[in-house]
Amino acid sequence: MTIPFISTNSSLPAVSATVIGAVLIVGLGVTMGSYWTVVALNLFMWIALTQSWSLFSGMTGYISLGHVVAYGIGAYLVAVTFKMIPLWLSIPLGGLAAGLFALIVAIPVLRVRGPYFVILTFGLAELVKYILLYTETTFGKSSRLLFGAPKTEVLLYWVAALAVIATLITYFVGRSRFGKGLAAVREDETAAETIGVPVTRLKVLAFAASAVIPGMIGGLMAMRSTYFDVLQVFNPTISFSIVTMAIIGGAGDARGPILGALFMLGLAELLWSTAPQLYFILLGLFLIGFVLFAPNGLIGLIKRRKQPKGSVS
Amino acid sequence: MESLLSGQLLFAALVLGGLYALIALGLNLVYGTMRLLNIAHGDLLMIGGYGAFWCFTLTGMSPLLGLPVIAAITAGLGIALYYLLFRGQLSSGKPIPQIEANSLLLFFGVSVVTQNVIALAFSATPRAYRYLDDVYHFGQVAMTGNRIAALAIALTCLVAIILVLNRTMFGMSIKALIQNRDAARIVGINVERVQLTSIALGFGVAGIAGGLVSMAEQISPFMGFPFTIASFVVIIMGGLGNVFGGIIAGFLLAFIEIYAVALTSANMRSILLYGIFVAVLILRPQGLLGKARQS
Amino acid sequence: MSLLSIKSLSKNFGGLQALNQITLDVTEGSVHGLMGANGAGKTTLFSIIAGNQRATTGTILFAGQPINGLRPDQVCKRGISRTFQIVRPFAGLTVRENVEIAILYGRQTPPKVSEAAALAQDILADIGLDALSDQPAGSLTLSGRKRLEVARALGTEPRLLMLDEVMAGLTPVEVTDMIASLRRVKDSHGLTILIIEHVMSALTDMSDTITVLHHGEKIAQGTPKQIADNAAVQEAYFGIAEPLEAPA
Repeated sequence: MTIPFISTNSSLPAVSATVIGAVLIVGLGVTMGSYWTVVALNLFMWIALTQSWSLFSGMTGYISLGHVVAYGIGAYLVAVTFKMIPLWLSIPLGGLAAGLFALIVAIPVLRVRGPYFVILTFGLAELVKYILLYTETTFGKSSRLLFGAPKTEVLLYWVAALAVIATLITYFVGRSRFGKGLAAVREDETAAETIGVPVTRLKVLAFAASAVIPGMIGGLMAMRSTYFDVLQVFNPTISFSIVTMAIIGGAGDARGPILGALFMLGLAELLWSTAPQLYFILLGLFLIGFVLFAPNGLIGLIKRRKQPKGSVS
Repeated sequence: MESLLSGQLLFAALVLGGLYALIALGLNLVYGTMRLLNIAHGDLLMIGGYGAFWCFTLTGMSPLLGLPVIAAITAGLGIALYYLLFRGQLSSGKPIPQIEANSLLLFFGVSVVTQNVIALAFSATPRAYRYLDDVYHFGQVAMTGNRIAALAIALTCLVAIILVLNRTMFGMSIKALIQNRDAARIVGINVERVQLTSIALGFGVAGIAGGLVSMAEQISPFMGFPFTIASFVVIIMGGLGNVFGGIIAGFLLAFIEIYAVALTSANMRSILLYGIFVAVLILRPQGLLGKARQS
Repeated sequence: MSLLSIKSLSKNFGGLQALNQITLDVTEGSVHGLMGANGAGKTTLFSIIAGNQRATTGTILFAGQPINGLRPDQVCKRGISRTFQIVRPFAGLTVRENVEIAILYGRQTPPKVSEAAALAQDILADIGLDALSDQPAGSLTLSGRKRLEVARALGTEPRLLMLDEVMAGLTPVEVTDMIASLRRVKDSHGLTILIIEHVMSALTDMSDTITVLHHGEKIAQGTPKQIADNAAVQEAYFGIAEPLEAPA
């Protein structure tokens, strides 16, 4: 599918802002020492994951609570092939594997709608986790040691690049024919197909596409620790965090996931090391607050501010 | 294969089935009457478990005697959440799919908060206590007292709730609300009061189930999730909002789980649970038993 | 020359016979009215033609090609567009975006994304909604939503436009406006129209031919005048067999 850009000129500021912002943060992260390198790495990881989630769930309204499955599959592929094939190959392959998995399960899974879809995606991710856990323990590989992984800085470059790509994809898809079709799917599938939108094809494509970058991120993040553990890379908390960030930041706008990731990471920096439980309590309270009072997230609040009451558009 | 036919597995399946049926009943009441998808349901068990634990270790009192208090605590939590989070949503006139999706996110927030408040207060370390753990032998079958008590109490609660639903005006109004919300309002049912009672009842029953679980198993702040999943499997198998289908499905899932694990290995338990969950949702989202109600 | 040709079409829902052996030809360039009481099967017929539902038996030819079993989006691309009796706007999108999506997806050769907005604006002007094009569709009045249904259907550049009660619930003035708009777009777009309408004066006013359905059966077809005089129609509608006065 080609994505005809609405007008390259009008998107230039957004594209350059994204790239420059990312380069600045990478530079800061690397120069300020290893602690901040890790912070920057985490930031870009969450941005990349949440943008990818938003590409499917934000656009179509099908809330996926199992996005960790893509991350885990990517991580698994990279860990299994570690030292057998080079990383520059295995990481994209991890992304492809995740996308392929999504493509295979898409047709049956996407027939299920609404809240059933939400819990189904969660259950599916858990099922894959336990199947892999079972096979790994059966073959005596409950954890794999990964010695000689690249340095954090190198991982940061990769992850930051993926975060930029994911952001630009969300941005451009939102303006493309594809994105408009997905918006129609979100609003009313019956009406959409009646005016010519190939609903199933668009949903499947978006679903598969939204798994690729998380798969690659999973592969990269597996390199962060010196061993591979199924329970760690398929941890459902990752899925939950993605959804929470997307809700807090606001879906349907490429800036939303960035705001959500910044917000969550800020909170984590303040509390994670000193009071992890308090961090989760606050995160839960913020999620509840945003769902109740600001369903369009931070980006919605900012837009409302900019736009005086009563004015149209 | 001989062991498969023994009463031991049968007993284990009955105990687990009673618990599953009871837990799913609470989830079903809340979903049926309000269309709220409570993914914090298992955390109510956890609260009930801690209630029983402290009741026993602090006062030395039988956790069974503490069950009414535990039920009151979780029921009170339900009432508080109803007023704080859900009353506004339910009366907002939002379309039902949106209420369902929002309730899922809100309960997720509740779940995260609950787990971590408990972890903060009582630490994340698993705890256990010994109560009624004498072993009784009936023929070849060995049973601990606490499991017998759990089964007896779960069955008593189930029977009592079924009687209330079938024999009282109030039970009828709950069933009417599950069938058709607008019609229930038109025939003069106080929808608000029925909703409030349903959430109190559903949450209270979950607290009791948690108390029963804690007598036989370790408790921890994060123990709830597998129970949430099991109860979702059960109510989807039984048909969402179908109270009696849910009870049958509770026992069905327990039998499948216990016997399949006995045939294979304990490692298969989670694969089995989630496999059934995914298969049921994809193949027959309207439930295995009975017809789904009209939306 | 018939643009749409339906042969022996039947539809069962379980034991219920919603449509029974319907045969119907819609002449290219005409306005063809469908009338019948609630439950007569009119909307079911629309849904089957548009691909939202499948016929149990029978064939549908559009411009000589069979379209049975195609998906709604494929039917739409062939040149058939329908509106919904219970309107289905994309409520969270603007009025213009609603039509843009129809333009981008419904046409056989879609324009560039950058051109869609201007094309949508033209259609909205035709149908009298251009002043509201930046409003969210959910904020429109019923009359506005009915117009949007038509505008969105037009966006797909149909040869056959199927209108399902686009005048129900409108005030008499709005009905007059709507008829005028429909006449205008029919001429400017060279449309063939198949229309379901309960507002009888509007139906007889617009239609060249009217087909009457009753309990899933076709009981009459003819000019508006012939239909008004038809004994079977009188019987079905009023339980009397005397001719009423023909509408003016």
